[in-house]
Amino acid sequence: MSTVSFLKNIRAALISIAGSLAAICIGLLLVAIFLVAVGRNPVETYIGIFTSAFGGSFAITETFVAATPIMLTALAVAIAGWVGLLNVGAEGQLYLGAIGATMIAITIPNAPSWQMIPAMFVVACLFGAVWSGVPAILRAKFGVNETIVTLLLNYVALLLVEFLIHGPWQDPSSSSWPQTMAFSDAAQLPHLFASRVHPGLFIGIVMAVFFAFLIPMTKPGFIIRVIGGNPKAAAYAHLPVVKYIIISMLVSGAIAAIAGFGQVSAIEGRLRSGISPGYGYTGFLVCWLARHNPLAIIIVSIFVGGLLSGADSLQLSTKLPFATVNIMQGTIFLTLLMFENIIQRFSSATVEAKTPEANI
Amino acid sequence: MADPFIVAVLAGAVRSGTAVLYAAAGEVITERSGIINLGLEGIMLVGAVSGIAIASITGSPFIGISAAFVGGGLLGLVHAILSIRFQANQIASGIVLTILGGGLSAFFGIAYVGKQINSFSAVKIPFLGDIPFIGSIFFNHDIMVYGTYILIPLLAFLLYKTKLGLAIRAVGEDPDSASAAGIRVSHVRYFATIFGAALAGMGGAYLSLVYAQGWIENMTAGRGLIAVGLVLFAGWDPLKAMFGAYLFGGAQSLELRLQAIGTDISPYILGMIPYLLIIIVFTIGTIRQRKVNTGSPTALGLPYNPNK
Repeated sequence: MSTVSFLKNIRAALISIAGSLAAICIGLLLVAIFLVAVGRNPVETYIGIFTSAFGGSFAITETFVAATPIMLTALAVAIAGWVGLLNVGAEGQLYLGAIGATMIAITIPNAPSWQMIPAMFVVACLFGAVWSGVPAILRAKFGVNETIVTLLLNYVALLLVEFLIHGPWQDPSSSSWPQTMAFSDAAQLPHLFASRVHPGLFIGIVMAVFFAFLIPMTKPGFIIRVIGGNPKAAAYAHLPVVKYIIISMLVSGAIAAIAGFGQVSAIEGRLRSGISPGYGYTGFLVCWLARHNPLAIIIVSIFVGGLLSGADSLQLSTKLPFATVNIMQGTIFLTLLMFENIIQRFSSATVEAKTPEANI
Repeated sequence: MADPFIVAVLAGAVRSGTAVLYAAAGEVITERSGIINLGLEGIMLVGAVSGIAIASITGSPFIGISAAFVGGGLLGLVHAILSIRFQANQIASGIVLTILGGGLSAFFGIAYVGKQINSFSAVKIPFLGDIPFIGSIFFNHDIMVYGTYILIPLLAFLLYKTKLGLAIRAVGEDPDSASAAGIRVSHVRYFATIFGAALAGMGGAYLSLVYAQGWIENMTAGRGLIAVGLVLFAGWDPLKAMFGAYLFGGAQSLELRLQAIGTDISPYILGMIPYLLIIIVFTIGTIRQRKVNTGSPTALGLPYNPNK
């Protein structure tokens, strides 16, 4: 790489970071106006969010706990995105992963953890891959738009969870609560650093680093980039487009499923309906803002994880309704999306992976 | 001769389908102009909550519906600014609107949980309502259902027979040529996006003011997405969208009737039927669409950059 292009890249990266920070500030300003309008003190609220997200070791570990499923689902979205597909179904795939892990945990409750955890992991991934496999095959064989199918399957996945926890899997000892029985100790992922941080975080980081090497540096990575950049050209060049599209979607679903496995095994210790407050959708936007760059996904996930966990604990202390978190998230994403165009105009020298355009 | 169960299911199909129909009809107009709005889910929710809020303040469901029209349109304006002015990815913008609309509606909806409101009651249309079978299915409903009987043909007329409709189709098909022919591409797309979202807002208000007669968080339950799916199935045609909406409504109505008469099947399993049906219908629509082009706007989802 020549010095000039290296400097251009640095310049582009700096513009990108500065632009994103400006967008976040404007987003926070808009939310502040909203908070004033509904009679809240925005300064107090923001200080509260910041301290509950990054002030002290407990706060920081909770930020990582929230960042974990976001990072995994964002990576899932990215993998599909590299071959030009929009996987908006990470939420449903997450729930399928939770169902798969739970199935193992409650059918062989007495298994030792060295059998239990790998079995839960594998079945979770399989279930997630089945859930993303349906839109993958419909897309590859019939050209059915995967955006709508993955989104609709999210609702089916939620109903499936409701069915299981109100029906066959409901804990017999607490018949009024729709949830499964608590997992045995062997089925619970270990916590780290005397906090709720669990190995899912490291799976996410390792996978992000792995993909950061795979995509630009290997032959499969090259094929993926060609397919994502121009599927027609890839087909003319006799590249195995269908195979790559299906495999990418299966891997995508499996990775989103790991997020669900982590939520039931390390956080909740059982399956219930509220294990994800929309992590899959947040992951979709995180991936988008990280421009499908796996290393950027790590950083953006931690930032958004902090926002979510901060706003979440704030809701307990100041009685702001949970919906405020979504308003905040939505507004910040909105301003970031607005700035995206401006940033790209200023840093046209960037050599980013092409993000897929909508094709309906 | 007409089995009351079947009549009840079919009449329910019209009622259940109406909310989706408003949204799908709006999305037909929006997508014909080349903009895809996946944020209908959030827009319908905002429509539902603004409808019930204003209706309970003023006591008039008519004003409530108008408020939903405005509320939906405002969110549509946000989508239009993002996707037209800032040329943002329209899918990402749609997801942002879904999250934002979900948050706003849940925030302001808290005050209206369990609140009683004046709703529209069913009015039987003279003569038409007395036709056996057909009468009870189509002509014994509230005024918003009747509204769609007028709205849908009007939209078809607008799209195919007026200058505005031609402009909408032209900018969705080939914005460059449309621009060369003197059509202001951005203006037309702003109009189509805001108007489409305003109709989706009305669809949301139909849910809160008439269908459920109350506010429940996330009460749209995917209907916004279903509307987007139906538009493709309908080949971007308002009249076919009506058929698609009633098909969805039929699945939902059947599900509710089966629950009402008591069945062993879990309500959660029955609840999956409408979603699975739409996936099947969407797949069929795509396969057909690939064989014979049923009118997919060529420039759909692509930002228009006049300076390129």
